[in-house]
Amino acid sequence: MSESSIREITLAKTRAERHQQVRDLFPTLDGTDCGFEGGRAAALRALARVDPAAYNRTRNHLNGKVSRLSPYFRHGVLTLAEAAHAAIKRSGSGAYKFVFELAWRDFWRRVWARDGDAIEADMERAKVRIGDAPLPKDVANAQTELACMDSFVRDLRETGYVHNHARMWFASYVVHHRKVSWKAAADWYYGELLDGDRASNHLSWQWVASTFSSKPYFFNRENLERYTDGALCAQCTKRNACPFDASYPALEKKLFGAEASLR
Amino acid sequence: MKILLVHDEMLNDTLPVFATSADAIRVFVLDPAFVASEGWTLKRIQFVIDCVAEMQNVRVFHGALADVCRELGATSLVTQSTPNHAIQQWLESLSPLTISWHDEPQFVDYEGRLSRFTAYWKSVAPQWFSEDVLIAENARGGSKLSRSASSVRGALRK
Ligand SMILES: Cc1cc2nc3c(=O)[nH]c(=O)nc-3n(C[C@H](O)[C@H](O)[C@H](O)COP(=O)(O)OP(=O)(O)OC[C@H]3O[C@@H](n4cnc5c(N)ncnc54)[C@H](O)[C@@H]3O)c2cc1C
Repeated sequence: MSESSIREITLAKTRAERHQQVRDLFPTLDGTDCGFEGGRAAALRALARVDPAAYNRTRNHLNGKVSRLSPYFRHGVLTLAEAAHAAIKRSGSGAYKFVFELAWRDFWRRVWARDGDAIEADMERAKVRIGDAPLPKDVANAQTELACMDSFVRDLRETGYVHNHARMWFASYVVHHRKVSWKAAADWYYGELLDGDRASNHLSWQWVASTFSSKPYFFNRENLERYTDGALCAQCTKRNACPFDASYPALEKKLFGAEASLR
Repeated sequence: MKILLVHDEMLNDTLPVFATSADAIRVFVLDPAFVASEGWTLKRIQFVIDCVAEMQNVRVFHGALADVCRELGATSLVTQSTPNHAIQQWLESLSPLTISWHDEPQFVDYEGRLSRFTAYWKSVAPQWFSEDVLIAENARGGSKLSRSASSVRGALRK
């Protein structure tokens, strides 16, 4: 590339103008504004809103008081240590669960520092049979007709943010029900996330798949309904043919067959 | 000419590397090849640019990183360490320029094994919480510290 292809850019003052600058620089990319405000000031405002006690009680719920800080951590706008100190200062021991969750990010990052690109392949043997299918179009395009999964993909594509529990449900559906290669799914997911991070993303997919955990993660309809107040199931056209509507032993048998008992 | 390369994991000028390299020119590069290889969406680039816009004295370029360094007459480059191989490989294109990697801030001190989260957490939690708190947490709701990592999260499904 010649030196003339370099351009110094004076970033515009307003967000809308800056976003237009970005569109002009990358004309082949399309998409909408993610709704997340970048920058340290916005990160500190978001940190000030964290309520560790409410987080403790509600974090597994889709409407729970989660922090939405992950895009800031991913880009170094905020450090994990700053967030932990702030939460402990605010709530003392009540910040335990929040700091515990921050530690997951640190743990995955340390594994990445130790193993490098090896985290992009199976870390351990899978504890159940997993598949290697490519990501199906209906999944990527939010056209599975499962209201839950389609809504998680729409969140992902429109905002780049998905609640942790929804990421777990979605990854479990893709890997265990659709038998998609966790790596193919993780690569796609990584690109769409605003907090896309090889360690937290790829190792979480492996955690769900059971290639970096002692067992696969799967869930049933009762669990999903409980943490979504049934709102997604109520609007689902497949609510009478729901693939998650079963007991855990029945699901385990359906997903993993005879192998399930070998674990 | 010393350059402080601002990569996408250090979009915050209160990080220690900025204080230790006050004499360097701060540069952020939107390198189309790097952006494409990372598969960034438009919304991600917008977020990143909003972060950069708020930082002090950062010169922003669009183009290949090596060309930007050459154009600026870079003789050395400092940046923040990362396990991110994509960033490491991107900087390899600058060889033979001298690159100094400045440690990123740590969440905890830990040198132990990394086989399961639970063992790691058991070891580092005392850096954040007193023993009393840890004993109480352990006793509350089914001893979080003694469960396996997967059953802590697997418990969500119960
Ligand atoms: C399949 C899958 C893919 C994921 N991909 C990513 C990713 O690319 N980037 C990413 O940052 N996180 C990823 N996560 C972890 C987690 O889902 C997000 O960090 C979290 O949902 C971000 O939302 P929040 O900031 O509101 O989290 P909160 O619940 O408010 O948690 C606070 C912070 O703790 C950390 N954290 C919480 N849970 C986890 C976790 N399970 N693993 C690692 N860190 C955690 C995050 O830094 C988060 O910002 C993934 C999880 C799964 C199951």
